[in-house]
Amino acid sequence: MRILILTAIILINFILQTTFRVEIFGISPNTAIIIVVSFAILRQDVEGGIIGFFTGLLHDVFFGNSIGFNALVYMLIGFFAGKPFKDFNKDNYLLPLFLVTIATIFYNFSHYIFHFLFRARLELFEYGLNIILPSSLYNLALSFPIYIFLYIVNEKIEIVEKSKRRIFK
Amino acid sequence: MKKPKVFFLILAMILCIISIVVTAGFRTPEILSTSFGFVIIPAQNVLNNISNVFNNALHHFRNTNYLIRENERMERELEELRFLVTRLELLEENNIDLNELLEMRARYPLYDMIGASIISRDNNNWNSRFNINAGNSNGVSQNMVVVARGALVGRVSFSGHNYSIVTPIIDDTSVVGAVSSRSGTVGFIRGDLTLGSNGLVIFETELNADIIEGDIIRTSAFGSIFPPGILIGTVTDTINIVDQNIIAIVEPIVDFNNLNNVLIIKSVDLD
Repeated sequence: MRILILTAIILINFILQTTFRVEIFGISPNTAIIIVVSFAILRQDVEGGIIGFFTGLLHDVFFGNSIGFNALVYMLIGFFAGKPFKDFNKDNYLLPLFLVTIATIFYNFSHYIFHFLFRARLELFEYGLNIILPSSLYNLALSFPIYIFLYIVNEKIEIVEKSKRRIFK
Repeated sequence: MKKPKVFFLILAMILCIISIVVTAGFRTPEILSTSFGFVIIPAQNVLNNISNVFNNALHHFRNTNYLIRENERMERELEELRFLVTRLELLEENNIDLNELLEMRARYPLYDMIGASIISRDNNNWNSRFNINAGNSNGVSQNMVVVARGALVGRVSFSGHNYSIVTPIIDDTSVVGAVSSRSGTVGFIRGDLTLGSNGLVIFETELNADIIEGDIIRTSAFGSIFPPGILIGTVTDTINIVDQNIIAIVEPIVDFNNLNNVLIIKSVDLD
């Protein structure tokens, strides 16, 4: 049940994201990061890492030069977004905003290092101003509605799972 | 409780890194992309068609279906013809210029082309790769040349079963051997991330080379992927000198922001 819904959300997000590319000033927000971070906050580190891994793998298969890079980055994002905030109340909506921004910066920065710095493209300031800053701002703006949506979805799933557990125990 | 988590994380990281190293550079169609392709590509096709239908419905009110179909067919035909015309123009030029080499140039390659539409674009802002809805099953394979409107789009960097990844010339990793038609100056067409978002590329050539605004750039005979003579674009902007190289801004003939259909050259018979 949970796996099915998660798979559907990730696939639908990927398809929508790549087919209807919403661009504002040539930069599109990366909703996959928001989904990974949101689920990591809601379901803690291990599940966050697994979701991140598969989200990244999907991206790698369709656009990657090599398979594994995005899987690795998204997995780390999912794992660490779920990690140190266990005691934090997940009803607090400021936490996802903060973590999504950090995660977007981390994702873009790792992309810059491994795909641009290694080819001696040193214009980090230019890229930061033109790509990293706007994309993290878009993600920041989008993370609030998406987090609320996923929060409701997660709660529905948990209710169903609890009722099932009662039947079998 | 904490140790196995970290252990698995590190294990997964190592697996990812191994995968990156193994698959870097040359990816072969594997079970992963084939199976994912069967799930994603039909959905993207359908969605892409839906979005196209909506877009078109906004512009046309009557006779929509017929006009669109006719237009699509003619556009494709026009593209093919444009491509042939540029080839023929080059052939003519070469015939005049290289009279003594006429015997060698006489047999020019006949191109076998496949049409495809762009169904999805990478959204991570760092590269401009896109996917097309033709793959191995349609006869597309890696390093085939992609053209549109008679000019160069890029090359196929990976081909799955029912989709292919195209690396366009505006992508930051793309380098194409190029030559100026007027002066014969040889150089490279290089993609650049910041220019690429405006659909522009860089023509890089040596210092003191003869290059001015308005020069037409074509692919050169250097390299093994791109056949010589395919139109790329015109030099539009001022020329900057950066460490012993001249860098000119080139506006490709292909409008990368409004690109929907492409042609893939199936077989190139290089002399």
